[in-house]
Amino acid sequence: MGTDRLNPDSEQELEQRIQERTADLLADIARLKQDIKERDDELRRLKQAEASLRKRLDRWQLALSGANDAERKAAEDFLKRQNQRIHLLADVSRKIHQSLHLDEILKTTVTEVQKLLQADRVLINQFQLDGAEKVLAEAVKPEWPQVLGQLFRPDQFLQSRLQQSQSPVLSDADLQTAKIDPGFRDSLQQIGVKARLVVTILTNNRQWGVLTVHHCCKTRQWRPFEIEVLEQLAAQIGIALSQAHLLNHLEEKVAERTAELTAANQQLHREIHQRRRVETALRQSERTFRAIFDNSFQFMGLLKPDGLLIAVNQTILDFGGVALSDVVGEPFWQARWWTLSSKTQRRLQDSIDQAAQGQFIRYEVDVLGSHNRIATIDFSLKPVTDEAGQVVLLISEGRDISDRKVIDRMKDDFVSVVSHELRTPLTSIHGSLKLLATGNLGDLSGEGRQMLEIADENTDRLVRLVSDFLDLQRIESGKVKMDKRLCDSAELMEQAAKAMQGMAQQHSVFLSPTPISMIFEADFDYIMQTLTNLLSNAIKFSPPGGTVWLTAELCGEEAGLGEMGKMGEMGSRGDGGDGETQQVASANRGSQPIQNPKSKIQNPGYITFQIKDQGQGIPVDKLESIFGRFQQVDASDSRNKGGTGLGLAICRRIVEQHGGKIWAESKLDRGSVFYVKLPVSTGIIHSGW
Amino acid sequence: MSTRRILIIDDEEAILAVAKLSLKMVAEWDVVTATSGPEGVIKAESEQPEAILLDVMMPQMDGISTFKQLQANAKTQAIPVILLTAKAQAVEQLQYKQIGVTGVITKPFNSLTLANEMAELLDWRL
Repeated sequence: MGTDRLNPDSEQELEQRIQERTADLLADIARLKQDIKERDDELRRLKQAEASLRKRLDRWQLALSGANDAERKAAEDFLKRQNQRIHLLADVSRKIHQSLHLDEILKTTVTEVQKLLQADRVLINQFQLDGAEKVLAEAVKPEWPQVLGQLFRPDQFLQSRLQQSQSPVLSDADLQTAKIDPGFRDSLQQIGVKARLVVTILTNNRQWGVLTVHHCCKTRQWRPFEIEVLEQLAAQIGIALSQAHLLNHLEEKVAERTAELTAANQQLHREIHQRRRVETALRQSERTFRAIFDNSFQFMGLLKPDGLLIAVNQTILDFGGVALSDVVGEPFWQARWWTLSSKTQRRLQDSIDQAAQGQFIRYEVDVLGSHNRIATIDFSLKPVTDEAGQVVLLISEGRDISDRKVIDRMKDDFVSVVSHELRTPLTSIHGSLKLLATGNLGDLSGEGRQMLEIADENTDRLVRLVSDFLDLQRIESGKVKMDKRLCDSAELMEQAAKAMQGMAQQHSVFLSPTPISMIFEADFDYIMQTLTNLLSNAIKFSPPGGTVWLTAELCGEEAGLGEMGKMGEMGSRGDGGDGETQQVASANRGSQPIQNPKSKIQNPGYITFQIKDQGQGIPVDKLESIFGRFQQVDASDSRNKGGTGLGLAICRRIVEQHGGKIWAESKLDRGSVFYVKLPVSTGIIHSGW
Repeated sequence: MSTRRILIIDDEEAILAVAKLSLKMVAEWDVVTATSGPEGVIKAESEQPEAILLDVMMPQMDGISTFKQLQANAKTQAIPVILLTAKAQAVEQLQYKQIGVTGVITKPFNSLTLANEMAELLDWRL
């Protein structure tokens, strides 16, 4: 999305460019105005000069009033011509100044000068880089050849003559005798020139070109008046040219900048169009996501990492019967949903703190809805991080699982009732069979006793099954609360071993406990149940004459066990007696060693009980599944070994309820090790057993 | 020592029969039975047993209510009561002991060891 967005820098840059160019244009326009003003001033001066001349003429006319007729006539003719020429000069100057277009100025000049001086040809030539002259404007009598656009080779003597005369004017009455570059003279003679008058045109104090008057029919003696007029006109042309240049330059710049502005404008339009498209797409996307957000079946909310609500969806608003404006910007835990109890609010606050640290949080909680409806939700907080890994947002989700909870409770109640109801008739059957089996109630035939034993054994099994099933259901449903009290691990181990001693003897298995003492918090009965269950399994699956070891070790918070490595050592043990000592030593590798099982351990994080056997082992793919319900390695085990298939599932639940972990490791034909790792609460003092 | 008299209160007649036979056969105790709480309270008063085996889960009046009535009655409050329950929870057992019962035996009980378990709880010698 980022690449589609209009770059604010380019916008600013564009604006700055437009401003700069506008400033340039304004400066140019100011210069042009100044030039026009200067030209107006010049014109005014010319008019003043014209008025002054008129006054002089008037005075002369007055003076001549006393002369004779012939003299007066000659004087009047002279004055008339002078007057006419002054008029013409003023006219030419006016016309030159009326235009700002270079071609027009040049054309006007040559035409008017031709008329004024009654010349055969008048040219305005522009100097080229090599000194050659290019004819830009021409006024020529029809009988003489036109040279407009032609290029005359440079007049090698021009500059030196101008310097010598210290005047911008060259006056050649007879081309034959004049000091002219011979080549240049030839080219002039080819176009019929007999006499010429040349004046240089300066623009900005540089020689721009020449204004040339040709006389072709004969030589011509140029009069001072004519030279003076030409000189003045050349000066006028110089000014006009510089203005026209400026204007041309200005127009070029205006055209160039207009083009740039047009391009920029088009670019701006494209960008605006693109931005609109992006905005439309964004709005569409926003609508789509908003629709998903609002119509989701889940309760959804967005939070800042400090827990202030940014947004919530319609589903959760409807559930709580609250308005968006009531909750947005407020701490999440203060919103109605969480006000069932201060404990609920505190838990949410703690969860937000944890999520803000990057943790994913999920738990089930009761929340308050409209009309005081209480719903159980599966609640989660997911942190969202930026590219730097900083948590910038928390996504809160909640799924109403009230119905599922009700069904779960119904299921639990059903299982509970069924199990209880089964127990009562079972008690009678079981009791009756036991009494019958005593033989005190009368003799049975051999087959009768056999049938009675079968009934008795299977009733025993059914009783265990129902008991285990009920136990598991109670633990899973949370009806059972672990009654955690301070327990001594040594006492647990001894009692568990004692309880299983009879069974071990029955199976001809040697039971080898190595108790170590650690005081820790646990439900003594349930941990006993776990240990006896694991010992019972180990005994059942051990070959006659085998050994079952019950050991324990203490380890730090993160210390692990090198379990599989130990299997090899276990398998290599020669006899049970030595095995005890070796087992303790080996089991403590990677954790705090217990040289003497009764020695004190400083600040252990966990106690791990280990039940080791020399049985047939468990295939690797079954090591996890055996902790599920009715998941024995061999389906026939429950019948052959008298188990219910629920023992390990119960053990796992018990251990989990203690915040611990249970797992198994095994090597086929070499035996198995079952581990029960339980946390040892800090601050509990070792008993020094 | 004269034969000990035991009162068993349980709504399940089959249980009553098995328990009665079990105690009679193993310990030769004299067993009186009642099939409900109210009947049990009356028989406890009239028969004056040395111990009562009381089922917890019964309709109308459950074992705990029955026990409370027995405790409230001067003629029966001294009789030790052992609860018979399918609720084998340690927490529940602890709660029962806290209200003053002598002991708890869980269902299904072993008919061959029932008398021994009771004797142990009552501190009797068989």
